[in-house]
Amino acid sequence: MRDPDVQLMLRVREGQDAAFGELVSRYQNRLVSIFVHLVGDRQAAEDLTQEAFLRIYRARNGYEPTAKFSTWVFRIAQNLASNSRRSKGRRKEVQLKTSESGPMGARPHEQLLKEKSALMPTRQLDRGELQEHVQSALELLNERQKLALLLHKFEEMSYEDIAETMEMTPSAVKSLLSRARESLRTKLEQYMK
Amino acid sequence: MNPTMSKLIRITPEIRADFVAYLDGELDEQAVERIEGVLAHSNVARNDVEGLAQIYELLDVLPRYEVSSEFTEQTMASIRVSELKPDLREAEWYRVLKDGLPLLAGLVALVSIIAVCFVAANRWVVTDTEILVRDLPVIEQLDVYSEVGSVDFLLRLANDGQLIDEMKSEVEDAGGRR
Repeated sequence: MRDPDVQLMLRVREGQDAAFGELVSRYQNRLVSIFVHLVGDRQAAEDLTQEAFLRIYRARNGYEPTAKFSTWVFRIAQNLASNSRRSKGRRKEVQLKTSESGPMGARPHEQLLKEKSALMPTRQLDRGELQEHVQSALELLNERQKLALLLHKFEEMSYEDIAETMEMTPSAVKSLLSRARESLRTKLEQYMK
Repeated sequence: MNPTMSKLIRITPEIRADFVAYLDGELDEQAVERIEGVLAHSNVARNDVEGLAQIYELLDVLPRYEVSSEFTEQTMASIRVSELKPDLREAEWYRVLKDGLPLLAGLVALVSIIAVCFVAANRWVVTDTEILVRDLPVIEQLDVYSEVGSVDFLLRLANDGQLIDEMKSEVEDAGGRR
């Protein structure tokens, strides 16, 4: 397999730790970005990223290059994010969203901002405001829709690779992405040019 | 398709699902032609596709995060620390045990079955010795029974208490007279 990351992982299997350092450098920002959007917490995202690397390292001896390295990495990330969400649900922790909103929902000034935005849809939003609206809309998607969308947008993965990562068929990925984008359009229509 | 027909084009959920795949370049040639045919004749479809494309562009504002410069080193250090406490699942003996577990379970099941059969055989299957002990009273009286010569008579005798009493009293009387 020509995938350079696979070549690095094969070197890790042979005991070259420096190759693993290279893989960590290549994937750390990509994983953290995906995790932050999935779990909504920067610190938790960094912890999950470290856990993902630990799992990859521990699996080095049995590693067989049967697929792209990235699809394997993001499958591990998906499992970790799901486990984290489940255990968070069990603990019934109140998590802050990536926006500034508190556990009781939008703060008064944020609510006011939303109301103002809704009243003036044609008003030019600054990038920060727009980012907040897009993040809020993204948070309303279910976990699978969100992951598929992020893998497509951030990782520029093909439907086939997303399917491989999420253990689905490419046609299921097509439906998932279609529903996700339709849902976003409904929520963000007023902010489109 | 003529312009009058364009008003009649119904955008089914399947076609709508294909709009996103069309924008993502994930459709085969035939499907692309079909979608382009729909787009060429439907303002609604064109607006839909344009809206979906804009939504995808909006996602560009989502932040990408970068870790601190120490993150790589911290990650490698945490991995080294975890390697000092070896994961049991990686240990050779654990793998051997895990691989051999079905065999071991089969062996335990086999031994259990054998043990149950042995106990059952001891408890419920009657041996020659047990038959001998059970029939000993009959064997001891075998000469007497042979002399009587009729099993039917002996059985009737055993079931008839009155006859036995009469015979006993007769024997006693005979003894008294002597």
